[in-house]
Amino acid sequence: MRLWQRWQTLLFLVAFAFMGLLVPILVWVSPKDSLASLLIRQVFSLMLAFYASLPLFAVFLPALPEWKLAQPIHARTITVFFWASGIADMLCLSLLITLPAIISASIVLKGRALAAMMMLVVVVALNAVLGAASVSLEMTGWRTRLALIGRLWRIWIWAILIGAGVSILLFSILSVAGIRFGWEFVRWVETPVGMAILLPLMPAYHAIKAAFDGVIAVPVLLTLFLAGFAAVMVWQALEVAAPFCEATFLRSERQQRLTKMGAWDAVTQEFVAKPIKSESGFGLKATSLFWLYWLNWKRNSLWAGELPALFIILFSAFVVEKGLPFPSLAIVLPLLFYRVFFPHPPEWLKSQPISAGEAVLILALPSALRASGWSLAILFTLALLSPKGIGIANFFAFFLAMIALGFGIDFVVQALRASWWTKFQDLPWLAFVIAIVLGNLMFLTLTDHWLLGLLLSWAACIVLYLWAKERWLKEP
Amino acid sequence: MALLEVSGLSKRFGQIWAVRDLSFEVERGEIVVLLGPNGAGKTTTLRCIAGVLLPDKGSIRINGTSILHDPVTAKRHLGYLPEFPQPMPYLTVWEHLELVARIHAMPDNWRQRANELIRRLNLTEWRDSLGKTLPKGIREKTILACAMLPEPPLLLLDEPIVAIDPIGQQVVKGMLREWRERGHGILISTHILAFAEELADRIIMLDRGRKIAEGTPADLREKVHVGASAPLEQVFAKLLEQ
Repeated sequence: MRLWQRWQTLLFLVAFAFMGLLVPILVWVSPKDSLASLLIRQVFSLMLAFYASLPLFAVFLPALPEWKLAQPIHARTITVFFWASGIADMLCLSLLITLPAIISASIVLKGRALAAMMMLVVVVALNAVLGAASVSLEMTGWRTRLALIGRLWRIWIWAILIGAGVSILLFSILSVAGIRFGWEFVRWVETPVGMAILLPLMPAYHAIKAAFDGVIAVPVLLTLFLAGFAAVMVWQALEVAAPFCEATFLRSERQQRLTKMGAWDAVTQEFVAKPIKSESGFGLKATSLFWLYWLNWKRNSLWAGELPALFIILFSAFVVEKGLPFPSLAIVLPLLFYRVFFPHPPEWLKSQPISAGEAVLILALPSALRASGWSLAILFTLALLSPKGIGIANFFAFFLAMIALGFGIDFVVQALRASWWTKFQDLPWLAFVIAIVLGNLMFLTLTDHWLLGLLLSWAACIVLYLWAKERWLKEP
Repeated sequence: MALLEVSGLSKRFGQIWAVRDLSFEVERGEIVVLLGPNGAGKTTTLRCIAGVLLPDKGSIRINGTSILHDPVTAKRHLGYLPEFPQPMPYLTVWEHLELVARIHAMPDNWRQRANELIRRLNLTEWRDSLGKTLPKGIREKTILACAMLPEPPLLLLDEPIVAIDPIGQQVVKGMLREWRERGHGILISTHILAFAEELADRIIMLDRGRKIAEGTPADLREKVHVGASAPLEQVFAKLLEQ
């Protein structure tokens, strides 16, 4: 077995172990009756329903390259093939990040698991299919008889998402203002009005809830409804398969024409054709890569994102004033954002006399510095907000773990060359990252387990470093 | 000791051997051209020698240093122009050269050399343009200048004149001849047979990852029993047939 396969297998298992353990441990170490309360179960299920419905928000379809359109294959066949690949990607991702945690949680809680779990698998799959179909319908201008329903559904989903964002904002403002609120409003979810308003999330919500409370008619009916609705939308999407291909073709033709006119770059990029002032560099040998990073940060206008990123992270610290997981998760996205916008070192740069280990480490250093700065901002904010303050051990454990997180995220992006979403074989790595983030943050937030969290963070960071280094050496 | 010694080089992608048991040498003051059909393993060979791809088997020594055991030292002795040269989008042409000079920890006179390269490769008007704005040929010249700046003993060039205009091609050929005269070794991979004929001291023919012939253009003609004036294209086809 080749090296990458060994790595992948190992990490795949570790990722599942992390994720599978996460929720049960959380339940286990929490007060024993925490999920016994119907209210908390409802909150928990609602949050996971958002998670399980991810494909509805995020499914995308790959564009058809021009050479494929020129092949003597029926347009509908090509479209179906692309749908299938798009759906498969999102489906695997959703299953990977959602199910292990839910299954193991239900085992810890002795839920009536099997039937409910099967139902949840079906719901996640249907969400992926429905998401892909609705995106296709959207791309073709909703030109079918029943397209209006699909269009409403999609608008509905986004309205729920925006509504959730606004609610979080409101609650956080109330929280900062010292106005306390309970979670009783969640009871409203299961009223007829609540179910109608949140209908797109309801199949997932009730399937998850069934894992704890047992399967009754409601989740079964909702799953059947979702299946029927998804089938109609797929049928509708297939009806416009040919126009979809045509639309894609026209798009690529547009690119071709603009390229001929020399205007494509100007349309697609913020293109600066005129010469600028070359700068004097700094650093020698491998450290000169810092200069490379600096120029990219400055000229790619990435500096403009620093303040908004800090604002988002601090804002998340306000939202959950007692714990660290939420703001820590908020760190991950800006880190990914920054790293993805740094170009992967081209071949000629890799042929320069710098050791792979040094290069990988130096290129990751800005992410680690950024993460450490953000973590300090979070810690001081929480120390000011929280009446009990933060223990010194937790303070340093969190700070050091965030540095590991910064390095780790950077190593992952370096290794995946910012193209991870297109490679199925890289999904375990993505799952691994999510698992590390969730797993170690959970440990860190438990006062007695900070050392374990810290060790896990750095152990994961070292594994990811070795992986990034291996990729640097093995991939041109 | 040859400048470049490749011995038993093998590289596999999945089940396919891109390069298999390849051995050859490049001496100082010699231009060696790798020829072969698409998928013959030319680019993979160059990538392994440049240290951007790890071979599965074999050894590569540059100026006596193994690129597998001491890659940093070995890379100080080479300059590499890849098949698809990609400049960094937010660095100007001049800054690319400065970056290379800093990585190699070159003494201050690198600026003179860089200016000379910019002048000869006709990059003056692009000196302060960002990498992302450069046309294809200018990108190629920029990375070629980066490869040449530290004056490494060995140059590895993968399709070096494909995107360059005819006048630029003449300049590059002239520079490569000068480098040969000054004792540098040059290994080129190309599909342009006229370019190979014009410059090569020795040609190595590859097919499906294996070496099928090696020698001067005259040797190869003799090997396939064609006249001294036969075009290299004919030699190429006959070698592949054999």
